[in-house]
Amino acid sequence: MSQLVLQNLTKHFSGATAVQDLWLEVQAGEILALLGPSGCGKSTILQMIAGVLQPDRGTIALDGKLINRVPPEKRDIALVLQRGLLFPHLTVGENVAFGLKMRGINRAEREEKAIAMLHQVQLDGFGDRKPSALSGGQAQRVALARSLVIRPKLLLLDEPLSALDANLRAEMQDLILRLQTQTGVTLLIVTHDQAEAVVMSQRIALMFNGRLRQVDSPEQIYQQPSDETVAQFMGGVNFFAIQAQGQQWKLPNGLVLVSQHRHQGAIRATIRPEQIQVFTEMRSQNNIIPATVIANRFTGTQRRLTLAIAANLTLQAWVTPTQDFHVGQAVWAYLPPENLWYFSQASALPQAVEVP
Amino acid sequence: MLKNTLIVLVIVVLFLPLLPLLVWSFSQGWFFPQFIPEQWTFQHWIQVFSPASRVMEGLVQSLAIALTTTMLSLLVGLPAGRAIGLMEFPGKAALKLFLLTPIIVSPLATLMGMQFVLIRLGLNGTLFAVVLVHLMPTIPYMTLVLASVFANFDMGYEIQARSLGASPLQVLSQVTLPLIAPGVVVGALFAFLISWNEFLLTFFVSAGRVFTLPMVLFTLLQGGNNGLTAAVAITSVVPGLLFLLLASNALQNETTLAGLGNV
Amino acid sequence: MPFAERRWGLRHDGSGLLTHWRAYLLLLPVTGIIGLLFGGGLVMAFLQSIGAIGLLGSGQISLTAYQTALANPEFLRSLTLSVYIAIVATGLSTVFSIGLAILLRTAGRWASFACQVTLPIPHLVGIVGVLLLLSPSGLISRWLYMLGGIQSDQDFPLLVNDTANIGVLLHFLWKEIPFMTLILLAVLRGINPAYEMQARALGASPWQCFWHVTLPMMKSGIFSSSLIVFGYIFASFEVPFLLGSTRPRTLPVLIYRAFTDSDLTRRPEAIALGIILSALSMLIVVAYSWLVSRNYQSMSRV
Repeated sequence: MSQLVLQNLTKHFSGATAVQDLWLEVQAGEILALLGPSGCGKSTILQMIAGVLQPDRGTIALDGKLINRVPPEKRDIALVLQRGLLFPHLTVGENVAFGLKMRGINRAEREEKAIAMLHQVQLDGFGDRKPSALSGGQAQRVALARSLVIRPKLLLLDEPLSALDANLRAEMQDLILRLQTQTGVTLLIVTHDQAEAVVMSQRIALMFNGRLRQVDSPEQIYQQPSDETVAQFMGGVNFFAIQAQGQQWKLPNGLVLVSQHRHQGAIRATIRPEQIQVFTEMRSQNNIIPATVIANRFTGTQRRLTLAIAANLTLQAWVTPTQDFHVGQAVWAYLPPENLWYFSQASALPQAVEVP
Repeated sequence: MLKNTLIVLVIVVLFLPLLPLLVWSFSQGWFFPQFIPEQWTFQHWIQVFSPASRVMEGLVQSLAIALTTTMLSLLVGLPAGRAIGLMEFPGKAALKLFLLTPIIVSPLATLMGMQFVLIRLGLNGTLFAVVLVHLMPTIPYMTLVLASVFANFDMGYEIQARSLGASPLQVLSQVTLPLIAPGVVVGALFAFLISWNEFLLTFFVSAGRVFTLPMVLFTLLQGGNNGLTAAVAITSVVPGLLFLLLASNALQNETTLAGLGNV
Repeated sequence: MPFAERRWGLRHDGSGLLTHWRAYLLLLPVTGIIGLLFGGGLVMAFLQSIGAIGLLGSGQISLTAYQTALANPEFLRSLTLSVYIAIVATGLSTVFSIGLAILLRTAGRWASFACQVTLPIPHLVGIVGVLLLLSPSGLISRWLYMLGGIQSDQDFPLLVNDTANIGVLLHFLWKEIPFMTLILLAVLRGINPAYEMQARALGASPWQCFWHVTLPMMKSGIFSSSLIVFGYIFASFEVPFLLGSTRPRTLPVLIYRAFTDSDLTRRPEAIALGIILSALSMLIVVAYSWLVSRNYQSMSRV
């Protein structure tokens, strides 16, 4: 049974739509990422679920009960905000025990639980410090501990890691996932970082301009984006026009690719840059097309090649850095049939997407 | 170095008027051109504490009035400060201007009007009337200081607390009030000092019955007893100074005062 | 709105009529009390001044009190004196406070604290201090005598109850400079020093940096604090009453004298003068807000 059910959720701010007709179900124990560019309404959804914001329309149900009218403190839903927001006038220990105190739990039990929770986030002995004495990562771990110690049914994380630097972020991601496994809490993470959403979640709900675009596993969103905007947001860079006749896909320059997908007529096709293989010699195989290297950038983990295929068609191919190429080199690109994906022209809403 | 010398000079000048007060309060007949008094005495201080001089009575009344005024200002200033600091609404600029009126516009005419009403209500000369008129200048200061503090208050803390299980009342007592405490302290300091210093407002509604410390001092000033006047003057500095010392940490918090620089 | 992004909840409060009503509800006690006391008092005073109500009110509405008040030759002289004192004291306080705030900005906490210590001292105490310090038999006079500067207290220049109102001005400077400095220091501490560093890095001299960067950023703080100080001084009673010249008297002193006159027929005149004084102060507030809004418009044009 779905633990959290959002139906027809809508919210406007001073005339502008923040969230429009949102339908979403989250299973118990699931990790779901709400992904989208900043300002797309995902934080608004989190605040409505937490109960600190009232929807204009629609319902929110937790464990089969409608909670629209339940005040936030009675929802058993814990929200962790981006900045951690540890109460500066309380010690770390008091911060962690805050929710327990609000529930009227006695001091001894509060302390015991807070100490155990701090242990779980690897901050043993930090209880008596002031939040100002913590690093950003430590503060965020305390914020997590503070929310988990009350055993919420649902944990909402609003951009929990965006203020941290890259190394710390990976570490925190691991910690969050480990805590989720230990507690089994249902987890909803809001993020604008597609890499973070992919690493952390079992399902991604992708949003643009207050509307849900696609809800799928990370793999599916990567491999089979619902439209070009989604593909672009997930880092897709190769888009080209195709005339399809069944599995025979004809490029504008006349070359024919074979795909696993059948379609008739004009479509837009895409392939992820890391799935294109580049050879220095011709191979007799389907989907091998001649190309010229017109740019070659080394990123450390990849070599990013720009390949000219035809007069107005270039493709990005990201290959292993051990392969070496030079600009102007004639090469052969292999576009694996299983990795070719398409959207029918109609569904590809042309839309400017602000990619962070 | 020059900078520190200048600062020390300023401080010396600021404290200069207190010097003759100290000397006079212990002197017996200090005539020109004596550099220091010929005779020292505790007589003025003994007089300060004797019931006949009514100084202690004035001190107690002043204290009661100032504390009541401060509490009432805080009570109404908190919601108003929150609205101005955290919310946007039509007429906000006009409202801030309206709040400034009692601290900028001369209260003389208003006092004459209020006196007329208070006499007819039989309230003239009561502590209640004095507290009422003192609210006019204290509420604006309190509200403006609190508005400035609320403007820098992160509502996220309240959201966070609610989501951790705190009721609205718990949020207020456990989160919001502790976090805006510096603003409350500075607002209360201003309200207290204004009420404590107030002469004109008290004079108009006291009908000679409410005798605050400034009234005592005003009367003494028109007499000729420099020694006693000085001793009473020093006495009336003490409570405000104590409050200031208590509030000194909060006064270092720039957001509490910036509000008065942005009206 | 420098902290807009930190005001996380703001967006959600600004929507719809409903939340506006919440704001107005929160403001109701304050506006109600101020409106009722200050506004109500003013209305009652006005009704008395036109004879609609009051001891000597004949129920006949007339502007006689205003005619008498304005015809009094002392009115104009008092007004001039009040304006003179308020402008000079506010101007000098402002200049000194800006300087002192700049000095204190980089000085230790001890310095700003020492400057605050005189803040809670009541005006009346200051008056006593100034009298005992500056009067012909005051402390400074005694020092000068000891040093041989003067032969008797007759030689000491008149600094209290003098026609130039030096004592009044000195008292206001002594009282208002710490107050203004406190506010301006808070404003200064809120300014990001990176702007000044950037200006210096772009080739501005310390003076240019102060004049073109720091001072403009303090502008609204200077405006507001000087308005408060001006209003206070303009309306002040005790200080000119006890330290000022006996003729002419400032407007508040004139009003006080007329109101407390044993001749009760002078009351309506006193009230009329009070209404005029209030109207003048309100005019100052309106002019100020017009000045500020014009200032911000010109700033946004640049």
